[in-house]
Amino acid sequence: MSQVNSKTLAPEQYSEIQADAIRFRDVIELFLRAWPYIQPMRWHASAYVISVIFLFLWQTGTGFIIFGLIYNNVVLNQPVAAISASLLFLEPQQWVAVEEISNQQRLSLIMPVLVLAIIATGVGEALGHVIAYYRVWIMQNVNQALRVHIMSQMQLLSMNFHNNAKTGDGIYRLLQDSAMVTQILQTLMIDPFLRVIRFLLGILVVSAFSPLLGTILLFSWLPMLWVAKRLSPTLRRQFKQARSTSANLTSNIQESIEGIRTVKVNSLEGNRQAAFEKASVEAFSASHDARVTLLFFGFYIFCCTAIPLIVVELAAAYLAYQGADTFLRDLLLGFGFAVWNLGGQDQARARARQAAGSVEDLFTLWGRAQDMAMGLNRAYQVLDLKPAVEDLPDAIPLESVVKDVEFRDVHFSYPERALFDGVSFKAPAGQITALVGPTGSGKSSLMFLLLRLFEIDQGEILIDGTEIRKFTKDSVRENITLATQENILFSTTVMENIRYAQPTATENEVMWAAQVAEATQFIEKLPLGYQTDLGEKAARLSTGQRQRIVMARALLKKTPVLILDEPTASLDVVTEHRILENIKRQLADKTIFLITHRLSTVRQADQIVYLKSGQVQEQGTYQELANGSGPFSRFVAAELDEV
Amino acid sequence: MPEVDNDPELISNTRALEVIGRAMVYSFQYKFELAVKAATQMTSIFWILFLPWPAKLIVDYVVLGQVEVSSSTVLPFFFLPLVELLDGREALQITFLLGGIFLLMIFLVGAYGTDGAQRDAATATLAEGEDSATRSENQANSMHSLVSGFFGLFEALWHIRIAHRMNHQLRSELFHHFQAQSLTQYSSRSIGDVVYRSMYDTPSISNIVFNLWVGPATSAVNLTVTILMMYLVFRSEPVVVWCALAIAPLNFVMVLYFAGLVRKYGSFAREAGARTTALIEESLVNVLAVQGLGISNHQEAQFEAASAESYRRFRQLTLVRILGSFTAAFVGNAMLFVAFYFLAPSFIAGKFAPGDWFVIYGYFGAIAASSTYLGRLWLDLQENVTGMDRVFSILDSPRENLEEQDDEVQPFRFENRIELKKLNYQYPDGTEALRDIQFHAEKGEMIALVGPTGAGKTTLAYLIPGLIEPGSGQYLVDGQTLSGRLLAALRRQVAFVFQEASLFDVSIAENIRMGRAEATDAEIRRAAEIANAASFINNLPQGYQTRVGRSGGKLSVGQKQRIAIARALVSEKPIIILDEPTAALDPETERGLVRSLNEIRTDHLVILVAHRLATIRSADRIYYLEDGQIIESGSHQELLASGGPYSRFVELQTKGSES
Repeated sequence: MSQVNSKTLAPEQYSEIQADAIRFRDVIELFLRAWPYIQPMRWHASAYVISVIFLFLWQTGTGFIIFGLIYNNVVLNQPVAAISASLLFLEPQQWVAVEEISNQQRLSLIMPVLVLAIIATGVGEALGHVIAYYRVWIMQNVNQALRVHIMSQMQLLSMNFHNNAKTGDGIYRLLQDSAMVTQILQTLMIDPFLRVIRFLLGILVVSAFSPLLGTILLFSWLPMLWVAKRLSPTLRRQFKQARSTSANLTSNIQESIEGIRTVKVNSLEGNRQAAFEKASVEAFSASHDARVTLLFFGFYIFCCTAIPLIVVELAAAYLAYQGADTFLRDLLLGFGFAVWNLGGQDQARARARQAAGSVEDLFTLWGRAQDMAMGLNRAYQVLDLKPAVEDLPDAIPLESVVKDVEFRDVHFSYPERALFDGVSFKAPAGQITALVGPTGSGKSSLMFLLLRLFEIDQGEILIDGTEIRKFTKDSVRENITLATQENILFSTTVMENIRYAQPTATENEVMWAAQVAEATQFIEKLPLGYQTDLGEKAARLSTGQRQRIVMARALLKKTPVLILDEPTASLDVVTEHRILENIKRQLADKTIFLITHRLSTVRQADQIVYLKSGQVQEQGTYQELANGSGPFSRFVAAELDEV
Repeated sequence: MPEVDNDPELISNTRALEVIGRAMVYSFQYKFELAVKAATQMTSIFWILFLPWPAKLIVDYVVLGQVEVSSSTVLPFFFLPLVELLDGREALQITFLLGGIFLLMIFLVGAYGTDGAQRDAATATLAEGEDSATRSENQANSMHSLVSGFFGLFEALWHIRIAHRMNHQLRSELFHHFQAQSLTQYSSRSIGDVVYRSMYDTPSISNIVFNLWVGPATSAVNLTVTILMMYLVFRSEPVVVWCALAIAPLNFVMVLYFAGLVRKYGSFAREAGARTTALIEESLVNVLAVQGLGISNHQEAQFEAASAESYRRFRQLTLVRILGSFTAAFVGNAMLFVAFYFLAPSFIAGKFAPGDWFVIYGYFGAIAASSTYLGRLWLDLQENVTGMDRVFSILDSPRENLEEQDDEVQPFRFENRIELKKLNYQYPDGTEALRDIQFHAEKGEMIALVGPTGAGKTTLAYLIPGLIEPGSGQYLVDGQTLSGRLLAALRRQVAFVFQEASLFDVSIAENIRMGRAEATDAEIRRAAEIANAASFINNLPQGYQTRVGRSGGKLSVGQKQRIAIARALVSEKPIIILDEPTAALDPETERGLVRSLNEIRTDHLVILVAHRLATIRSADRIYYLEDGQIIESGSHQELLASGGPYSRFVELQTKGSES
C-alpha cells in the first residue's frame, strides 16, 4: 500500500508556482508559514518592535517640542507652549500666558534648546544604531532556522529527487530564496504596523487642526489600491522569472566546473562559455524587467500620495495666512496652536507628510513583498516535498546485533525503467556475498534499496527476519555502510575524510581502518600525512588511492552490514587481494556484500548471487557455479577466455 | 601550488587602492555610458538645490502673507523669475499658482520638497537577507536616481543598463578564466567558491564604479554648489558657512578609521559565505555518500555551523559599519547645532526672514546627507574592494598557456607520431610524479599503460593531451617540438574518456554530441553502437532523448562510461585516450568494447590505462610503470617472455582468477 502511494503521491518534484493565480490570501498564508522560524525569536522580536516604537515616539515627541521651540520661540516671538515651558522650567506667567515674548527671552532660549536637542538627538541616534544591530542579529537567527530546515529536508529526500534536481538551484534556494524569511518580520509585520500607526497618528493630528484635510488624507490610498491590485500578478510573475533564471545560472556554473575535465578534453570551453553567457543574460534581463516594473509602480504610488499632499499642504498654509482657528483649539492650546500659525501649519504639514508617506511606504512594501512571496515560495517548495522514503508511524529503531539480510520477491522500477522483477536471496552473517551480473543489471540499485535510498514497489527486504520498513530508516542506515563506486571525498584532511562518518573515532582507529584498506603506505608519503587536505576534487590522488580512502571510511564504521561496491576496480590485483584478506580476518562476523566484475574478487566470496534481467539467475559458491553450466560459468569463461 | 588565497588581513591600503584603480581602468570601457549617467545625476542635483525653496515660498508668501522683511537674504538667480511671478498677488492666487508649479515638478522630477513624502527617488531595491551573498543581488541590479519623475526614471533605467552590462561582462570574463585554468588549480578550490566568486563577488564592480565615478563627483558638486549657495545667501553670517564647510572633512576623517576594519571584516564575511556555499554544494552533490554512510546529521550540523559562522562574520561587519555611520551622524548633527547657536541671534535681531530658517535647515540637511553619503560610500567601497579582490585574484592567477591567444591557431592535424623523450613532471607542490619518460606512439596503434596503483599511469595519460603541462624534457608531435600553441592544437586532436565519466544534465544524444557539435543523429547512433551503448539506450523509454539527470545520476557507472566512449568516438579525433574504460564493465561488455577498440584503432591512435588483462592483451605495445617511471615496454607476448615485472603482474592476475 505505502509503496503504491510513494509512487503516486510523492514524486519528489517541485510543483509549478502559480504566480498569476496567487491571491492576497495566499500571500498572507505564505507569510504565516514563516512563523515557526520567527517563533523562537519572538521575545527578541517583540523587544525589537517595542524599541522601534519607543524610538519613533521619542523622535516624534522630541521633534515636536524642539522644532516648536525653534520656530515659534526663537525664529518667531510667539509664546512658549505649556509642555515645552515646563520641560525647560520656565515661568508660565512670563512665557506662556503672554501675547509675545521679548527678544531677550528669545536669546536666553537658545542654550536650553540646544541642550535639549543634543540630548534628544544623542539618545535617538545611539538607540537607532543599537536597534539596527539588534535587528540584524534577530533576522540572521530566523534565516538560519529556515536554512537548516531546508538543508535537512534536502538530506531526507530520496535519490530520485537528487538525481533530478540541480545543485545550483539548491544553492540558490538555500541562500537567496530562504533569505526572504528575514524580511517577513520587517516588511510584513513591523513596518506595516508602524506605518499604519504613523498614518493614523498623522491623520489624527491633522484632523485636530482640520477634519476636512484629515479626510482627504484618509482616502488618499484608494487609487493606489487599484493599481496595486492590477500590477501585483505581473510583478510576481516577473520576480519568479528573475529568481529561476538566476538559479539556472548558478546551476550552469556549478555543472561546468564539476565537469571541467570533460569540458577541457572535448574543447567545450566555447560551448560552456556561450551557455553561461546566455544564462547570465537571461538572468539579467529577467531582473531588469521585474525591477523596471517595480520602479514605475513606485513612481505611480508616489504621484498618488503627492497630489493629495500638495492640496493639504497648501490649504494648511492658506489657513495659517487667514489665522483661522484650529478645530480642536483647546487641545492644541498646550502646544501653542490654538490658531493656525507658522509653527502650527508646519506641524500640520509635517504630520500630513508623515501620514501620506506612510501610505506610500505601505504600497512600496507591498510591491517588494511580491518578490519575497516568490522567494519564499521557492524555499517552501523544498519543504513541501514529501520524502518518498518515510518512516512508518510505528517504526522502531534497529538494534545492533549480528544480522542476516534477506531479499524476498523484490520488485522495483525507476521512473525511467523497470529493474527488479522478483529478486530473492539470503545473505547470512559472517559471510561475503558477491553480487555479480552484467553492467546495468542493478547490483548497486539493489543495495540502494537495502539502505532505503529508494522504496521498493513490492516484496520485502528482511533484516534478522524483520521487514526493514518496520525500522526507522536512520537506524537502518546506521547499521549499514556503503563504500561507493564513485569515490566521493570531502574537502577536508585525509584523517577527517576517513572518520567522516564516525567523527568520534580516535586516530588509532583511523589508522587501523587505513591499514585494513592498505592505504597506510601512500598516506604516509603525502606531504602532511593524515593531515593532508584533499580539496574538493582530490585531484592529487590516483583513483586507486581515493578508492582506498573511501574503503577505510566504510571499514571504520564497523557496522554489522558492509556493502563494497566495486571496491577494487581501480586497484591492482595484489593490493586487492590483500585488502580482502584483511577484511576477512578483521571483520569476520559481519554481513558483507561485494559488488564486482572481477573474478579474482568474486573468488574470495562465500556465496555468489548472479543477477540478470531483474532476477537472481543463480546462487551458490564459486566452485558450484563455475563448474556448473549456468550463466555464471559462461561469465567466468568470458573472463578466462581472454587470459 | 598556485592556490589563490587572500588572507583578509593582508588587503593593505595600497592593495585596496590598486584594486580600486583596476576597477576604474576596467570601467573605461563604459566611459560614454558613465558620462551620461554622471551628467544626468549632476543635473538632478540642480533640481534638488531648488527643493528647499518651496517651503520658504509657502511660509513667506502664503502663511505670513508676503511680509516685507528687511531680509539680508540674497535670492539665487534662478529663483528671481518665480518671485516676480508671485510678487504682489493675492494669497489665494499664490496658493493656486504654487499648486500648479508643484504638480509640474512632480511630473518632471518627482519632487517638490525635501521631505521623504515630498520627494521620490527612483530606485527598485528588493528585500535582501543579512549576509553578503543575498545583498549582492541588489548590487548587481542597482538602479538609482536622486530624483524621480520623467527625468529620474530615465536616469534609473540608464543606470541599470550600465550595471547589467558591466556585471555581465565581468562575470563572463571570470567564468572564462575559471575554465582556462589548468586542472591542478581545481584540486584545492571548491565549486562553491567558484559559484560565490562568479555570482556574489562580481557585482562589486558596478558598485565600485558607481561609488567612485558617479557618487563622489556628484556629491562634490552637490556640496560645492550648496555651500556656494549658502555663502551667497548667508554671507552676513560667515559662521554658518564655515560650519557647513566643516562637515565633509570632519566626517571623512572620522570615517577613515573604520575603512580598514570594514575591509577586514568584509573579507571574513565573504570567505565564510563561500564556505557555506561550498558546503551546500558538497552536501547536494555527494548526497549518495552522505545517505549511504548515514551521516545526514553530521552534514547538517556542518552546514549549520558554517552558516552560523557566515552570519557571525557578517554581523561583525555590520557592527563596524554601524559605528561608522553613527560617527557620521554625530558630525552632521553637531555642526547643525553649532550653526543654530550662532544663527539664532541673527533671527532674533531680525536680520533674516523667518522662512530663511527652512532654507538653512534644508541646506544643512543636504550637506550633512551628502557628506554622510560620502563617508558611507567610502565604507561601502572597502567592502566592495574585498569582493573585487577575490575576483581579480582569479583573473591574475596563471592560466594554462595553451589557451589559444587568438583564433589564428595554425590548422594542425595529428598525422602520425607522438614521442616523449626524457620527460619529467612535477606536481605544483614539487612532488615528483613522472621521471625520465621515454614513450612513443603512432597512429594505428593501441597502447596500454599498465602498473600498480599510484604508479603515474593516469598522470602520463593526462600529459599526453596536455591536460597538465609537461616539465623538463622533450615532447615531439609529428617531429615538431610542442609549444604552447601546438599544445592547444593537439588537445583538439584528442578525445579523452575518464575513469569517472562525467555527463551533463541534458539528453543522451546531446551528451554524445558534445564530442562534435555538428554530428548528425545517424553518427551519434553509430558511435553508440560501436561503444556498445546502443542496446541499453534503446531500452530507455525516451531512448536517445532521455535526460541523464544530474551528473548522469540516473545511469549506472558502466552505462555512463559507454556514453563517454561514444562521445569520444563521435568527435572523430585521431587520438583517443581511455582511462580505465572497462573497470566497471562486466566481462562480456568489456569484450564487446575491446572488439570495438580494435576496430577503430586502424585510423586512430588509442591509448588506454587498464588493469584488466582482457583489455591490455590486445595492445600493440604495453608500457609498464612503477613509481613514476617506465620500467619496461613491449607487446604482451614480448613482455611475458622477458619475465620482467609485467610478467609477474600477469601471473598474479591469472593466479588470482584461476587458482
